Amino acid sequence: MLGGPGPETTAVPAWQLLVGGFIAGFGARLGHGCTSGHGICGLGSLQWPSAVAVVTFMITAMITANLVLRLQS
Amino acid sequence: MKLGHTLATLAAGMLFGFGLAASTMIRPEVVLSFLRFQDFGLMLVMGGALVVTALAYALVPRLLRQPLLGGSFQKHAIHKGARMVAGAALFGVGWGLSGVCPGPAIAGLGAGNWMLLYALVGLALGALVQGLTDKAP
Repeated sequence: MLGGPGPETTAVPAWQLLVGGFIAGFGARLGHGCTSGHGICGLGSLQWPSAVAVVTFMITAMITANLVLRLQS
Repeated sequence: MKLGHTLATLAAGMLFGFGLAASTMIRPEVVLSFLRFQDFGLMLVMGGALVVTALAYALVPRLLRQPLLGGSFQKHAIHKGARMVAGAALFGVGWGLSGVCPGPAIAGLGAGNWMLLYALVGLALGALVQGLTDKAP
């Protein structure tokens, strides 16, 4: 479940974590929420602007993740 | 902050982090494989969390007259409009590039994944720059 006692690591390159983090941090503040804020708290309290936010960031995240995969292979 | 609030916040954060780790959402690879349509675990985790949260939001205010720690029940304000949608779109680009969103970036550090510090520094700088460059009133 937790993958044993050893430390976790990731093969995602540092620049992707840093640049992706920067864009996500900028967007989360501008958009007033992230996956948890809009996706769980916003939808959970039935606030429909959050549904717009969730659909929007799911679509752009899927496009980005697939583009990155294609450019890397 | 009163002691009760501090302890409740600590307990809620621990539970959230535990859940993110137990469901493997602290692994960027798992998140990216969802975004690449290879693994739908994230959908189940988010859906499960959503059901619990929605039930709590709907039922608790009916069962309790006021929150256990005082005050009154209220919803957090959601801002709508083009700026919010633009922010969500940007957030998605960053999330899709890194496979990391703010919660797992913090929780993953507890699992010893120090690479996530890159993401955490990026998130903090991005939010800082957004505030510094924001021209809205």
